[in-house]
Amino acid sequence: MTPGKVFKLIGSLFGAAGVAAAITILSLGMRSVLNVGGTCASGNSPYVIRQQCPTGVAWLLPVSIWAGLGFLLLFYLCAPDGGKRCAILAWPALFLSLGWNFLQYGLPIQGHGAAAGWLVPGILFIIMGIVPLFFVLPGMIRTLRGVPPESAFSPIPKWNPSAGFVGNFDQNPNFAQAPPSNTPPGPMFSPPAPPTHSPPPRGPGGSDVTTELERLAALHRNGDLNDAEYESAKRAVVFGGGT
Amino acid sequence: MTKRLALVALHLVAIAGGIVAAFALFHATT
Repeated sequence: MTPGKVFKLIGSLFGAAGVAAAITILSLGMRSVLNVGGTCASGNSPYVIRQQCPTGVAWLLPVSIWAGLGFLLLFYLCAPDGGKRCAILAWPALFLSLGWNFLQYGLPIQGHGAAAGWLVPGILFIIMGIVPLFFVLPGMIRTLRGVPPESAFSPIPKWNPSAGFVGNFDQNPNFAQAPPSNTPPGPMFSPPAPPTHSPPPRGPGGSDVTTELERLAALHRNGDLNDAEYESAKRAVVFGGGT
Repeated sequence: MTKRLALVALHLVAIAGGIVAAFALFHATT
């Protein structure tokens, strides 16, 4: 492991620990404010303060917010490419922990009656924390298992008006020369096939290789093809063999 | 896979450490 990688690992670990610490302090600070009624004030002021904030909370909360953002940036900059997306987990962690606080003080489980004023933000925060998990967790599990985020063998093809289904080789006319679907699948990450010396095939509809390549480049620019799909498609057009 | 799991475990330990440190800091400050 090179020194650069060691520094990045340490930065990533410090970033993750710092974000966790910042969210924990925010949550604890919020609970201490909820304990005194949900609102408080502190400092020198011409106004009379009805409820003093618990000691230290008035500066801990803003500092933890900015420090947490800083640690999140540190984590994002230092984490390896596959781990950067984990930074998004700070959002559910923040909203679920604060939402739980609201719910705990809103529901009649702390020796007092239900408080709708805490229940509404509690439910809202829980929803805001849970919903993103449905979108980010599958990708993280794929990354953990070593599968590319959008595999060329994705069972869900994308629809493109000019190219039909893109992303599923069996249904895409650009991959007409790929092995038929009843062929046993090969290893998922097999190295690319060596180029053959046969003359470049002509694409469907009589278009030549250049036109096909330009069309693929346009699809790639538009985001309809990811990098892996684009490379595979180029090989299929140029060498006629697919991957 | 093993390396990735080790990295994830390492980060989970760091997060746990951060949470414990935050509890200690908060209770020492307030």
